[in-house]
Amino acid sequence: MQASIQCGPSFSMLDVELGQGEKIIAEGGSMTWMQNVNMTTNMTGGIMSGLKRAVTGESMFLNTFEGDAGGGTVTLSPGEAGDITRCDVEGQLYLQKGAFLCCGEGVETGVKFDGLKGFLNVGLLALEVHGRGPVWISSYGAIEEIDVDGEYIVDNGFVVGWQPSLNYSVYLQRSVRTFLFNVGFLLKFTGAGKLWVQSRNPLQLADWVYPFRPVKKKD
Amino acid sequence: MNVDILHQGLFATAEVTLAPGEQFVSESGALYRGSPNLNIETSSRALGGGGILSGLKRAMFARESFFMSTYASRDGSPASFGLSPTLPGEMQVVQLDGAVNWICAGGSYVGSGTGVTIDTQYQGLVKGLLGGGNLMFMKTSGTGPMLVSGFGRLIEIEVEGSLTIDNGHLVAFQDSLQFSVTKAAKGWMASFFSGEMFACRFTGKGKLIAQSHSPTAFGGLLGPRLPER
Repeated sequence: MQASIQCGPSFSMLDVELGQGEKIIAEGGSMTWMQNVNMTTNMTGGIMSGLKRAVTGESMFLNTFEGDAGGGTVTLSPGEAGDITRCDVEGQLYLQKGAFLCCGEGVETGVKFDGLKGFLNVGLLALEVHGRGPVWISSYGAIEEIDVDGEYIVDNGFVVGWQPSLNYSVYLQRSVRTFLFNVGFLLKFTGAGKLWVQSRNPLQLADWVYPFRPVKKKD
Repeated sequence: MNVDILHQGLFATAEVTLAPGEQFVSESGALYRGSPNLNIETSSRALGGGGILSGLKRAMFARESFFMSTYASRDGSPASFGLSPTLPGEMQVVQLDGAVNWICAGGSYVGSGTGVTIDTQYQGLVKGLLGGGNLMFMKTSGTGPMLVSGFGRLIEIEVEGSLTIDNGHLVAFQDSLQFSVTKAAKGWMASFFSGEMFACRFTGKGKLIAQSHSPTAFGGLLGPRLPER
């Protein structure tokens, strides 16, 4: 299997060459075009896994692409304009809603219950991938990989993924005023591990568009 | 103080590194990541004074944020942080030299170093309302780096003589330029039917930064396709 990122960094797509019998598992709806590849759809891990994935904002179904005789190619594109990056998973990786694009065999997806503090980060449930193999994640905007050693501060709307060796908490400044008046929440990641952030926040764009919506007429 | 533009292109951000004792100011929502020794103070007051009233003026009339954040290093080591604008597009560092002031239009101001004073500048009713709908612009003076962002590409134009620009594409300009609101074509009828109507006309000599796309035009395309609010 060979994968290359095309049209990056602003409109990235992933081109995957699959040898005969080689497989890749991708987020439902991400297939753009394919040649000589067989696609099967399933709720990998059963109905519960599918439902749990749906709660995290991913699709319930995952598609498996398998190279036909002689091999084939499949091109995948994420929903948002931005970048794609490859992470090699050994163990676990936590992802923000919608950040998962595809993974190789040997990697499985699940859900991490993040509790109440999750609401301040990527939501009550974060997507969790585990196993051993490559995972491709996508972002709105550019992706930055940060090697955290000690502490690092990130705005909650910009978190794409993080390694489980990192813990996070809401970052409280000494000044209460700062905490109250900041638009988003700042999170403080502690530990040693990798953290991925994106260079734009899709929620900020949604907020920006809001005033352009037509106003409801009063009867 | 070091200001670098990262990912220049559609999703540019700025990375600022501050030596101990240095300060940087930005709109309050612009910070997206920072080193742990970063101290953040948020208030309606920006460097160079101004209280609640100047915050209100910024927010209501200049399409900027009410609150400004001031960043500094908390300990004796350098602090670094990233700033990100809302819309997709490029960013640019403008170095103020103390001689010429820069004026930022329509929410294009992102942040600036110590030594740069920011203030709102009243444009007058006619210029303000017709020239892009902002009664006030952000005026920056002093010395140091100042960050602007745009929707799409940023283009720097050396104006000599005169330049007519659609108000939606105006990002920032040096105040050595005179500015008036005018009709885009020769006659009012032609201006009306051209879809341009009012445009900004700059005369004199100085630099101007324009953006390749107009945010209000984009919002006008998206808005009607969304459910009513």
